[in-house]
Amino acid sequence: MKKSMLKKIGILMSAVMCVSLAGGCGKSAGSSESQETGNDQETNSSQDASSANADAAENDEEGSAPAEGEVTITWLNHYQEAGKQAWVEKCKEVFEEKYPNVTLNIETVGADSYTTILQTKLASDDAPAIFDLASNYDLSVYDEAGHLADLTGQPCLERVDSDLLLEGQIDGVQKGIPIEITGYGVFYNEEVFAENGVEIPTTLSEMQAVCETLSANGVQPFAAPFAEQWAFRYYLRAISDITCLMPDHSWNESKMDKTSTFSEDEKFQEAVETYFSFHEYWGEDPFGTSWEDAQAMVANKEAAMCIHGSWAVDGFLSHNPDCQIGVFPMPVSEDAKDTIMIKEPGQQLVLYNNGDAAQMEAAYDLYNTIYSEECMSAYAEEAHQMPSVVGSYNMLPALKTIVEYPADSSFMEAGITRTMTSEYEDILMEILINHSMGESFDMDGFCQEADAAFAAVE
Amino acid sequence: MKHRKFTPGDVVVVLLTLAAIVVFVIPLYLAVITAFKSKPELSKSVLAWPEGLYLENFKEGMRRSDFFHSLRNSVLVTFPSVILIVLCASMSGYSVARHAQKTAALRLLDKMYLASLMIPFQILMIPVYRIYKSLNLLNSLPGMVLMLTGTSIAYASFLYVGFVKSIPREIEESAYMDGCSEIKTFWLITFPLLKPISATVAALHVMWLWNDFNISIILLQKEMVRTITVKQFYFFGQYTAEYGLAFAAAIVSMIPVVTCFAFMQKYIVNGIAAGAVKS
Amino acid sequence: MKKKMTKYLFVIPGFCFFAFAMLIPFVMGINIAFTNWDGVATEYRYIGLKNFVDIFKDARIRTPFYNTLEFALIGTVVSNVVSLCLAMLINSKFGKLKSVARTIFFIPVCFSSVLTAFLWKFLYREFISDLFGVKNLLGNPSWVIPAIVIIGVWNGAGINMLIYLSGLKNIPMELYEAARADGANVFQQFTRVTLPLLMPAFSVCVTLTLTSWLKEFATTLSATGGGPGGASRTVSIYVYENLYKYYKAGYGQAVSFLFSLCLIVIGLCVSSFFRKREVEL
Repeated sequence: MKKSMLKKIGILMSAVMCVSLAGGCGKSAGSSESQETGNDQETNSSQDASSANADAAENDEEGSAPAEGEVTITWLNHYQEAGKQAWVEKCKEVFEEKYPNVTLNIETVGADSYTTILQTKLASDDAPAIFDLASNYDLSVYDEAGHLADLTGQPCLERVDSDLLLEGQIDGVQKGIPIEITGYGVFYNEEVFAENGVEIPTTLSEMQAVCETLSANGVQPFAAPFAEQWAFRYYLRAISDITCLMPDHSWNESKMDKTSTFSEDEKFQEAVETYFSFHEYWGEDPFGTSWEDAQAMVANKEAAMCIHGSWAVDGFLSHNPDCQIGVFPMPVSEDAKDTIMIKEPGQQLVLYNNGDAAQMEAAYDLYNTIYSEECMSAYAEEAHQMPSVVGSYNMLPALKTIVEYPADSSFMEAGITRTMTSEYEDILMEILINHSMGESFDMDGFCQEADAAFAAVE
Repeated sequence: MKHRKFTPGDVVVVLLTLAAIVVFVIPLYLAVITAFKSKPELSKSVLAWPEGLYLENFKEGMRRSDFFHSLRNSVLVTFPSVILIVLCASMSGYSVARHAQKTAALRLLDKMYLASLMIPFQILMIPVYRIYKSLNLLNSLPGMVLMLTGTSIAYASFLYVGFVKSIPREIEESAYMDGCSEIKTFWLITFPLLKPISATVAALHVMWLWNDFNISIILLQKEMVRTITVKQFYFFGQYTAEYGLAFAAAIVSMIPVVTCFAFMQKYIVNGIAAGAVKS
Repeated sequence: MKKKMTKYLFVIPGFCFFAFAMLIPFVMGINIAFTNWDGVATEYRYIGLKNFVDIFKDARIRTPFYNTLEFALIGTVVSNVVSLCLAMLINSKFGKLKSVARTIFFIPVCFSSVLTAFLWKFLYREFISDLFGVKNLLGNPSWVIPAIVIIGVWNGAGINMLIYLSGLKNIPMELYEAARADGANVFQQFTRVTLPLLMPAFSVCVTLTLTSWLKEFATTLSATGGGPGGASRTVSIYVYENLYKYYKAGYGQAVSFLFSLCLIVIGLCVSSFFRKREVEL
């Protein structure tokens, strides 16, 4: 009895050892980047059976000495959608074919953990060669730390829409380039509009009338995804960007450095009033509606409209591939001239400022490849986005509407402080949400609370 | 025995159990039907019975998560860690339970383990990554085992401490009388008596480590070494989510752990109560 | 003499793992709390206790602080009562039913918190709202915390249930028989025999659920993102936002450090409260 017990423990122990050793085979060359060999299948859409991959891992371990001049660079991204992944794959394929001595290592992480991982990697000297940042503010933080490479003089700059290039410049030096144009406005289900006999509104009262008709016909006018703060904010931004930010490009800054207050800002208060004047059209339970719910509602004709960004189009289609989605700018006044399409630069790809010349060269090559028309058309067609590189692409109709919207009635938010920093924005949106839950809106209370909260931030 | 009369108390117990089962099953039912729906179907109605047996989610979910390969990774990190945890934690739990009263160092250790449970993992992330980078342990499954074990020892020891106390000392003392060393006594006498709690610790940690996300996401960044749990999050994009695929992949990846639990149950149930203590 | 060393020998392997994975990284990370690091820069400056002083001036941390207490209080009570009840149901005498029930109560543990949160988002919106004729509880500032607690309890009750179950299994049947012989009714049997002998299980479950609710992060983040309007933001979420969203890593680390200290004090008090009442057989 005793012996068998000891034996069992012995077996257990050796099992542990064996398994940990076997696990060792999975250990790849890891951080010593130059040791990577080409047989690494870093793609999650890889069709290989597990055994093939396992073999690759084992070959990796033995690691044939890298050939002279071989370089491996890493692209850290958060593109989990199937369409965007197909595009990333395409870029890798085009790039590796063109530069056979460079291996592109793609690391895809969740959008939620992206910043965390990026910051962890940077803090540990394991920076990716190429990654993306959301806004010029992020860019300035990373630039100040010396992480970003200068893009001046890169051939791809000439291919990008010149308005967009204002974005990505820090003190006049190009540090990033937006990969896409996004637009935001009112996305609507065209069939619902047609069935209810309503037209695209161009003034506020026409908008009110559209909502009135739709509710009378039993259709919820707006799908309001207010359970998610990031989706909520477009309901105000679609208005306040036109009335506050367009005439005063430093509007966001003036609020953050406290040189102006909400209490004294009549235009802003007007924008908030306009936003809230639609509250009866948000449906029964806007704060219990998530972004996924809202997409489903518009796609399945339960609701007619949703104020959101252009990436929404792909989302609606995923819920109902047959739905017809259109877009129009949100009216902000009784003057149709004020009805302006908002366009903004999308996320920017940036290069990590690496001391290693060979790595840098490979990174620049990759950058120019991504911003080539070939890769960008994959971005338009596979990922359903609006590329920043000028060209004629096969795009979804609603996206075409945005891109081709006349320049004199568009507001391109490039090169300005488009939004407040996350902290200020969270504060403002939270207070706005808390004031928007009732039937009436206490404007003075809202402004005072927001001013006080802003003043408390360092 | 066979036709025991049901007392009103028994009826209440059965009814309550059934009610609890219903409450627990509804979300599970939802998870299963979601896995059988395409996205357009799901967006029309979440609760309705699936229109047909839509297996595409399972196929696509398994393909996109590179199922068998990531399953292998999950197995290779989870089970060795759990074995290590049970071995190390049972020993230290035992030592603390039996000697802490007289040994200040063990009391301190006990408090330190408890304290460590309160530390949110976020603040350890950057230091851990730095250590792993410098030791070249990133993207390695043994490195992952090390981390998972290290972060679980405290909890597991804590579980053991209480239960070791419920085992009468006399049993061990009679073994000492027979001239057994403490190490031998522990492995031959005490450890087998700890079977129910060991099974509990093992079952819990199989679940947790299998589902670990925080640690794997930073230590395992290459596709090659990613676990099935991390791969599941591929179905949650920045702006949209593929629930059907996510639940299909989750359900399939749950099979090994649920089987493991079903197996462990026997030990949890037939442990000490089976008579070891009474004899 | 030899025995003296053995007791240390027993804890060494576990301690080595623990030190490598938690102790050393924790010590390495402490210094950040005293700096103005933004989380991105390669350099930072030591600013003494400023971050800690700022915590007490930060009006924004109050709501997360009270939310966290609410989570801890409701979460600990509900999750322990539910799991103890489940364990007792399962520990009763009905053969087939109980093994089915045991597996069903445990399966939710296999769901990651993110998937669980999504599942319950569906339920709250489509099912529970229809059943009770209410709006989505997750969108209601006064109900959001209890609603998230329910999600967490469904997800985690199986864990405590198992611990209570192994505790119940450890209670010798003779004690019940003796109690019955003394004329104790079911309730008295529960308070005089079950509860005292379950103390080890209580000290584990209560301490651990309390601290895990105090640390609440993942479920809430996926279910509501801390909303609506910050009504479910916890201290952990606030720390995370400072670390990775607001570029205030130094401050975030300081909050987290101070918060961990509070948790440690609470945890040690609670566990010693229960440990004192543990009975050794």
